[in-house]
Amino acid sequence: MENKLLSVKNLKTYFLVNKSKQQYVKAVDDVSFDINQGELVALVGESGSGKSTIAYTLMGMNEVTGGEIIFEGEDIAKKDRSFDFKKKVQIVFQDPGSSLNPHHDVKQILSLPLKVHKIVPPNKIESKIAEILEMVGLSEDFMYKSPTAIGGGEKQLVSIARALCSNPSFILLDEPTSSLDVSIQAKIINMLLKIHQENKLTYLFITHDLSLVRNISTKVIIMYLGKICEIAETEEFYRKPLHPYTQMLLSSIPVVSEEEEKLKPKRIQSRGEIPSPVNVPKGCSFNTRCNMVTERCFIEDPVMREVSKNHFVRCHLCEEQV
Amino acid sequence: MKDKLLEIQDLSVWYKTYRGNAKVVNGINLSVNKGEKVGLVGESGCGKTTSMKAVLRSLSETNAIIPKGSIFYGEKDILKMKQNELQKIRRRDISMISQEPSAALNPVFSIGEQMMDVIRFSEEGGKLSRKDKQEKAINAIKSVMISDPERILKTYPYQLSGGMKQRICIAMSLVAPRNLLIADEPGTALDVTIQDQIHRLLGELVEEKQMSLIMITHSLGVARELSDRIYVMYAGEIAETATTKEIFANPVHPYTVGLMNCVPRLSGGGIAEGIYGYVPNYINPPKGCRFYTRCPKASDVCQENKPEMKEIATGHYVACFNYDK
Repeated sequence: MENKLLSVKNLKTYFLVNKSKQQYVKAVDDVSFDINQGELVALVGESGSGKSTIAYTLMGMNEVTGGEIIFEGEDIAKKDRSFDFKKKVQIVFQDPGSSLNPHHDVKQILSLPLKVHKIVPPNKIESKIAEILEMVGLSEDFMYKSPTAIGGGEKQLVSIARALCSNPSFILLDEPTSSLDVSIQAKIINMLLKIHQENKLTYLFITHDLSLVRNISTKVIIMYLGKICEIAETEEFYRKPLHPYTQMLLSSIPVVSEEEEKLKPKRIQSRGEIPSPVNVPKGCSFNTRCNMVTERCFIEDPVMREVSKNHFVRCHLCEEQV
Repeated sequence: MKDKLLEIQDLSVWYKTYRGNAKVVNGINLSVNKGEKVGLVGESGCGKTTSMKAVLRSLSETNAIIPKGSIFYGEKDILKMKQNELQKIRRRDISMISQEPSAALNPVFSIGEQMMDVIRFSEEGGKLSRKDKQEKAINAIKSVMISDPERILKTYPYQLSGGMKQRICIAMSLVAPRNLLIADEPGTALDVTIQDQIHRLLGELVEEKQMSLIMITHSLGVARELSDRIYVMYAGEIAETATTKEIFANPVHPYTVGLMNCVPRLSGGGIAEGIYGYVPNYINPPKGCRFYTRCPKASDVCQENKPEMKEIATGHYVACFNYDK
């Protein structure tokens, strides 16, 4: 049996938009998933689907409206995150430009977590920083550079280095390469995969790039408007995508070879836009854009069903397949 | 022989900085035929937007210098045009869609007002009555698959989503007949499903109106779907050009090959190592080939000399010493 590291059950994060009308944005609505030790789980969705909100809620940056977050056997949803949790779980943000303090140099940025979590004695901080910088593929010279003086890719490497400082076991990566060029993305992803293997880490990788996910993850979670549409293991997911939204996503990817073209579900054409999360459509939230919509989709919200082993889909159409 | 619509010859663009001139575009040659869709691919900072802005002469006047080169639109050199001729070209012949739709639209005017301005300055615009103009605007909005165009004309940009704004920008650039459309990464700021819709729409409209298209993009996948011919640009120079089919079947420049390997494949198979090193400094670029510092096949020749464009197959040109023979 695999070792469960994190288990999210019926997690809800609502944001109040209008107090008198009691109107909420349901950024994360009734989301459940498990992450096992050593997995690389990809959380995929369009902007506004609530994928970053999940990450922030796990980190304790947003208040939980309902549900459970079980980390290493303990429910932490309603508690302040313990010191131990903060050491074990780290996050890398999407925009390295705004997540690094421009008034500090790289050495100051990296030494803070080392000091706070007492990873090494004060006289060894410098050598530890050099070691971590080497791990992410930066030279020692970077220690005295300011984040404003280095390129976007290098900045992201520094913020990954900062996450690695406290010897975490679980890292949340919030679109770490979406603002970078492909040649730099390839370098960073390879480095992340190497560290993942060597240090036996667990990643929750948030992204919108399904072709990247195909190459790195062990499990894929697809989100739409705060709810999960489909969860499956990567192999299974790309062989047999079931949810209409997943198929739409896959067919929208611009690809570079004929071989890939064949893998795309052709008959689906993407249409419509993600509705405002304040007025989520009744029934299935995807009914405004779905190509296979039926009457039932406007009345009843589908529930998660396991169609085959470890493959969950939330769609009325997949009911018969169970 | 096909008719050439636009021909850029040996164009260079420099930006003034306090450390010296940054040689951002360095002697590029590029041509677009009538009715052709051309993709201009390169990573951020390689000068693709800069060179296309030079076509419309919309570069900063205080900051940018064009030391040499010419841009022929038909018979005339855009760089030597007088202000009124240039204005005509901008209003009637060439239009550009920018990467960031929210920055391209004026936030204090309604969509309708902005659209009317475009129509008013178009070729037949002066003669049309207000009602005709309105009708034209409505048809343009309908053509980009937006329902309820009458309402949209009264809205302001902030009331629309990113995808909608980009559609409006496309509608605006197509409201009057044009010969050439320059699209500067129109889908980059949008989600994949919206990007897909915008690209499909753009492809259909360009074909329907028999225009030429220059598609600036950093994604090889997008270029593959939307262009007949591709230029690959690296550090201000054209590295390779060929028809889309040829370049994907047989990429030869080490940069094109490297870039292609970096793209994560939907069919799996892991991710390649990436390209070693970083883009060179534009103020003191390498003397020879600008890709020299990162090239896996670099030799001494490349350090000292600049490679010329060589035709290695019909219509397939590459700037690399490895293909000298």
